[in-house]
Amino acid sequence: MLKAISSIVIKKDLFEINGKSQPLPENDGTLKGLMSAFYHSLNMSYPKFHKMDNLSKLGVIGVELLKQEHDLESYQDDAIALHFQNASASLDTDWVHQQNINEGKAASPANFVYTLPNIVLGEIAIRNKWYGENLFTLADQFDQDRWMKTNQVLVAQNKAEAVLGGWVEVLEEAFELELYFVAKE
Amino acid sequence: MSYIGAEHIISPLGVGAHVNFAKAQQGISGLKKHEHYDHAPSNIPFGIIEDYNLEKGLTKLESLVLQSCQYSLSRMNDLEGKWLMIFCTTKGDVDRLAAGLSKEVRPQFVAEVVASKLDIQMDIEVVSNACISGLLGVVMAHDYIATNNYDKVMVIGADVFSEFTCRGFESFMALSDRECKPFDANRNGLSLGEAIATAVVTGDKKDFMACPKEVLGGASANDANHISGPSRTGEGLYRSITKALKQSALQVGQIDAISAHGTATRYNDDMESIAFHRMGLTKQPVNSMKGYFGHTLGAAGLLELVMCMQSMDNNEMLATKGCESPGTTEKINVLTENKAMQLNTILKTTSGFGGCNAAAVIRKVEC
Repeated sequence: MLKAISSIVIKKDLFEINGKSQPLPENDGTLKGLMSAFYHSLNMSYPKFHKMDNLSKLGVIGVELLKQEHDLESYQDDAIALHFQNASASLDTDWVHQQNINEGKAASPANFVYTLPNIVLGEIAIRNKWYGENLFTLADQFDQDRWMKTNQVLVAQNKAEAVLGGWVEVLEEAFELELYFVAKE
Repeated sequence: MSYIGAEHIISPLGVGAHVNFAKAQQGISGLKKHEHYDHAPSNIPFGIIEDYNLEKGLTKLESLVLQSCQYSLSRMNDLEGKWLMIFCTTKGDVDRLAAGLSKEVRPQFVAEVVASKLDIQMDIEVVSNACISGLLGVVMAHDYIATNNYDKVMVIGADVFSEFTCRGFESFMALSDRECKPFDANRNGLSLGEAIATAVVTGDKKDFMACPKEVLGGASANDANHISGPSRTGEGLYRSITKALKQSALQVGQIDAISAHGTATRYNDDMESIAFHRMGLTKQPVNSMKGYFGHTLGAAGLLELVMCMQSMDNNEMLATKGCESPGTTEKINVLTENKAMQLNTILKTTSGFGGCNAAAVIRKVEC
């Protein structure tokens, strides 16, 4: 059986590590500002971060926080599956691309590349050099039992030893991250 | 163990898996220039479905997905049991976004609408994992059946042409100005297409009216290299094929042929040739279906797997339409003409943005 070993939750005015409330880093009240504040509080030196859309930033920050709680270095580079879910896919970034079209402006390749929700999996994989299974699914609400059932299948089929993921949702200024690291008990 | 059957395709080539295979077998392509189609630049060929019936109150995508599902269900002997629908798409009905953000733009909305109109109750899972979505859906279906989580899984791969996607690929300068030429030395980009493909995966071959194929196994892997550029070493594709073979309990030498992704962009096709070379898969016949259908994004993996199933029935691997003189970093055996051959096992591969790759193996079944 799989069990959630560590968790990171970041929502509006809420930040929890393993269920314990934490102070949010000082920020300007925007999602972009909050992501920058986390980036600095984590002392990250990763210039690529600044090119990412907010969905990818939120996922990458969550994983950085989780790595401080749990040693993931001991796993082989393809042993951790990434399985994330959300409601709005990449609509936050899609909307920017669509507005360019609506207004007759040129499309931006740097923006268009983020118009797929699984790009956050790619950003996490690149940052951590993880070559494991990838799965991005959509649902109106996070169904943790269902999400976990799929994880059980991935592990039962010997495709992963552990799963990192959960709920990563961004639409304009609304956002939610519920990130779990699950592994065998 | 799982079986895949009751397959169906709706594409510019026509309606039905047999019809699509027969047209492709004759070398007919669904790609052409559209003079009067909204949002499609008239000087670039696209694969757009022009002849179709709209269901009352439904969009083109919803209508075609519903029709394809209904056909697949009609080809089952047994509809009993616990069903799952896996809807695989990159963008769903993204055209709706032009009018603003709404819940109806969410890809899962299409799946909910279609599920509500089917006679059978199904759980819904929506996979949006770039251009590996359709094949990943089949791999998931196989894994759910193998672990007894469901009795039957309806897998759907569906994406329609949209101004949204067209303008994006244009901005990448990834669109070819002529029908795409996968694996050709002179390839210069992809062609966009649209298609709907469906199939049912179950644990019992007797569930199907026509003889199904066995899904031996599959897997996905990330390149961990770049979000839009293919890996120079083909790492993720190499790893996904290695894992898919392990899942299938097969050796490289037991693969009869490969249905590749073959988008006809310079770097993608080179990357695939490198991964196949690293695997020792240089002798097996390889084809790409993109010259017949264009790149159908989230539908591609399932659409092209269904074409593999048809190939098995016809004992014929199809030519890579558009490829006249193969030219990739590593030499692989790209088919430039249809080839009659025994096909017991076929490897299907896909790769997508976000560095994702998926591979799966199917096997012919005696019924």
